[in-house]
Amino acid sequence: MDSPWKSFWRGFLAQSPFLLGVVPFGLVSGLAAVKLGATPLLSACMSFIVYAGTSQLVAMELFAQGAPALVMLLAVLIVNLRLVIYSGALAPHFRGLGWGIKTLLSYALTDQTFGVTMIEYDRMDAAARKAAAGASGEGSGGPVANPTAPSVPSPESESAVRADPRLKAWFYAGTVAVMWPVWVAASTVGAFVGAKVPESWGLEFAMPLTFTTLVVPTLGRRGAIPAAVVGGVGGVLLANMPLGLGLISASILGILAGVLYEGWRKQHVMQRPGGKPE
Amino acid sequence: MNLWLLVILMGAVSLALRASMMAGLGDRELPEALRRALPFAPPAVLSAIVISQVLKTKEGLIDLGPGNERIYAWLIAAAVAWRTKNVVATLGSGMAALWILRALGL
Repeated sequence: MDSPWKSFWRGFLAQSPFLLGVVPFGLVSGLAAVKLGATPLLSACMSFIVYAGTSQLVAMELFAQGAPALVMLLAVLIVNLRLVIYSGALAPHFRGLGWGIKTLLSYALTDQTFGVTMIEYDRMDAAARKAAAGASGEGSGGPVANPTAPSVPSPESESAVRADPRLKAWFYAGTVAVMWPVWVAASTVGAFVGAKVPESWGLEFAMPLTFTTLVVPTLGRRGAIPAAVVGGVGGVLLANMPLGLGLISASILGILAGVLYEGWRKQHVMQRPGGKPE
Repeated sequence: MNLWLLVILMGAVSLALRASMMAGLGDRELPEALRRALPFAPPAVLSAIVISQVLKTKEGLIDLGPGNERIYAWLIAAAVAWRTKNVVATLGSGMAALWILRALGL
């Protein structure tokens, strides 16, 4: 069984390669906020108060367009809705921990941390199941993980066996120990240095570039390409709507396009007897 | 509205979303419609932002003309992003392309 420190360290190491993406994104988001009209101090503080880079950039873009506060908050809500999915997927892994700890952990939830922890938790649960199966004498010839465990049959069904939520929380904390300080530091540097970069460098172009790298991995899902195309074209066609409402409307249209396409595909494939269900 | 207050509210909204299932609702399921729509939010929102940022001039007008060097630079960077899925490579190629196109006076 792993110790808390070992779990923490494994999380730290698993998250570290992501810094290659986090550092430039942090620099750009700090810089962009300043270019779009925030003070460097506000821009730096936003990075740890909100701690959600994409929504920070979207909110600042809307701010530059003169959008009212309510529209900016609505945009933050839409862009960050995916965090609800992540939160739901992680919830069963932290069952049994205190409410305060879970809230604290959730504050640091990001795309990167979610990606790394879910992979690790699947692995940890698989190992725990194997250990439980071995302990109750039902191991399928594999190496017994914990031969000294009492050979009492587990009262729970096998699929309900999960690894210790405390070790999972330590692993999670390890990923955050990489992400949080680096993100805050990079965006702070970006905010204060960005204010001094001359206009002619065109550094605001870095923003759509980093966003592009965030879009690309999402396009693999069925329906994502229609969502992206409708969102993108809609954003251009509706660009003249006041108060940043064009962006919100285009986003909602894009989401609808994805849902409709997915529904249409499912029906279409199911109606053909030879059609493969995927 | 005071920008600082706005940032704090943005943080509160984000934390509420993050904590919703982990510390709040617990075992309850999301409504079916929301669960189906959520995965499409990132591609829809992000591409709406990317495309309009690439096409917009400093004056806030859409410039689809051949004189908009950002379009070419972005196409190059998007191809790099597609191939490498790497932030540094995408940033580097896109900015380099933009600077070269501007230096050439295109």
